Amino acid sequence: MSGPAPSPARAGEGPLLEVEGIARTYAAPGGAFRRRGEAIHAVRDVTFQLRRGETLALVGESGCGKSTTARIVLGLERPDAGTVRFDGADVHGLSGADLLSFRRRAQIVFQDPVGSLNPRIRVGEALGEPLRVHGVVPRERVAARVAGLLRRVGLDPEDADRYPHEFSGGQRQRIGIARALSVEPDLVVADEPVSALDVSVQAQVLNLLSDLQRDLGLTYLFIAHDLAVVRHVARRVAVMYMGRIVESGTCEALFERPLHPYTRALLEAVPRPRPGRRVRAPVRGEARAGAVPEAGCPFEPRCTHPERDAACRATLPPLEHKRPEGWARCIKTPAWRVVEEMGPPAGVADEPPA
Amino acid sequence: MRRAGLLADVLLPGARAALSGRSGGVAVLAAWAFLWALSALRLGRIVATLGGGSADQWLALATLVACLVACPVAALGWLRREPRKASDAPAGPIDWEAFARHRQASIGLVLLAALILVALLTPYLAPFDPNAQHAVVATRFLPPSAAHPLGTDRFGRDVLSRVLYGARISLTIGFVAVAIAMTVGTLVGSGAGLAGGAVDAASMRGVDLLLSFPRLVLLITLVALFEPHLGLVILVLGLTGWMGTARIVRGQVLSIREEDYVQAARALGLGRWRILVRHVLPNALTPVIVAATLGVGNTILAEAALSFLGLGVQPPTASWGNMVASGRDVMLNAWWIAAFPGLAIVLTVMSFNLVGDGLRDALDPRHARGP
Repeated sequence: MSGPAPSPARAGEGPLLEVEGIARTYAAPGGAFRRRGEAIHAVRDVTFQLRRGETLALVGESGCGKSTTARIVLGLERPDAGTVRFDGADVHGLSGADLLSFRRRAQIVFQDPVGSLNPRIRVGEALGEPLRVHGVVPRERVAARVAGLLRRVGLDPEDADRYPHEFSGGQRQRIGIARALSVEPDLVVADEPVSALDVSVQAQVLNLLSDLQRDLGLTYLFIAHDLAVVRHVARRVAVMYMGRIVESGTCEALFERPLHPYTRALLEAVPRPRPGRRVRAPVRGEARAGAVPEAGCPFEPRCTHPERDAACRATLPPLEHKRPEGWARCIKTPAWRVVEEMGPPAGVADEPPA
Repeated sequence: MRRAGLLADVLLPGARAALSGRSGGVAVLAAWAFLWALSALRLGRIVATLGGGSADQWLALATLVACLVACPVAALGWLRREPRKASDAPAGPIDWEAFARHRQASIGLVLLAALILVALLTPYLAPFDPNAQHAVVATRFLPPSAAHPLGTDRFGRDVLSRVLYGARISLTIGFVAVAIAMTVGTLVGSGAGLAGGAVDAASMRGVDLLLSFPRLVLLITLVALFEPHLGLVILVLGLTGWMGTARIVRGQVLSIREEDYVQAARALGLGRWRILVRHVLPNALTPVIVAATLGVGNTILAEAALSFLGLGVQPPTASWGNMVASGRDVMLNAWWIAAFPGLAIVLTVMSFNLVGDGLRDALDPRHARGP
């Protein structure tokens, strides 16, 4: 991405976002009259980095921990383990003025265009409130800035006087984007920003997002379940399965030659404009927390890799370096070189075999 | 032509709208006629108020003047606008048009407005002093007649006047007690919902405990501990009526705080109080407003029950409950003493319930359009 000259705020050294080994478990609530349920491991040992101005896509089916990762990255939820560093500072250790300035620099765009806007607040107020709270512009300039934000995302400044339910899904998503932009962030976490939209509208919103990235030098963590969408927005992709990153790498390589059977399955699920070439069923069954083996590869029960065997069921595959800028958690994919030789990967860290 | 229309709207507000078939016009015209008739018939009392009246009378006079101004204003403003079509999007978060299309709710609202108006205008409306007794033997147990439209009671007091004054008591008790209940309920409910964990569990078990007492028994016990008077009755009714609201608010807060717009507000760094007051509570209060409307009706009923048992408003002050109680013994010979205050209770509670139903629809911004 060739953006404008970076502003002083984002001129720091090193990656903008460093996520290291974060994990989050949801305990099923216990109580005097309830049976203690099974704990759900939403996110386990997720590590990635995000450089300034780049887009990393986080991909996986629903329930794989993408959104929990997003909430932890933004400090909306605490991880049970691991750290999130934003511009070098531990996000979950921030408080007071530091926390407030982090809130200005990292924003979120949600999937659901209906639930993401307060139905009782006019659009102008939804955008103006953060401007006033953070003192982004002097009070008398707030209305003008709101109009500017609306214009920036392709809406009419007069829309400020309307309520969210008067807009279409695509328009509401633009309002959500404008709200995120109101505080002039560096990082925008887009949690499935187009999944709820019609295909024609999806393209418009994706174009808007990439225009904004070009003009404002934004960094995106782009969460999606649809690989077809990811191809247009991201250079790097991380694929998650049941709370873990199972493959990460550059977009082109991952699409050309996936390293993990799960990535292959996802790619084959993308509808292609070439009928008549039906592929075999790429996976069996569906992801269920109960169906995960205690030891071994979590994808093994659904895997269709021809060489899968007892070794797959024995130990959890480490995230191995398989090719330049390509990591995967599959013992049946030949390793490229030993991880230690490579120094810290942009993707991931190993965890000790279970 | 336009000036003639303007003049018509000022002199006979609502007439043109009524002619074009709008029920709102009929209501405004009826109110206009009623207010002028009242002013003409009670000119003496109005003049006496100007010469120095009680707070009650000044309030009635202020209401009269305000309503006389409001009628032409309504005719010029609200009734001139074209009614919005059912297919259009509502203009604001409260869908008043959905409310207006809800026929029973509209009837309830008109009844309620009339009731409040009557309560405020009582000093001018009531034909007699509600507590005046003259020549008791000659005037007691008179059946309804021209002089006493609803008859007289065992002390020769005019039942109509007492029913009218009773409306003030009942509505005051209903509104104030429910305001207390809603405030306490909202505080407890939002506190429990936001705090979660042990605080939530403890306060909700407390609510369960309080709810498991029959309300009337609780009321009787509390009132019996002290000397019954109006303030105590209001307080006790308020403090026994908040548990349902607390439950509703807690449930709402629990679900709304997970909504994306609340998460977005957190991510934007808005303060905890700002999020609660501007983003969570306004969305949590929809069912509370409905519950409050229905609650006023229930509270009036509870007050009537208390007064009927002799624990509420004390004679000679008129309340519908103690009027029914005093007519109980002579029900077969002088049915009007108990029947009319009873009818007033039924009408009032019914109109609150109708309005509550209509509000439920109107307050939901995402409610399906149409009747």
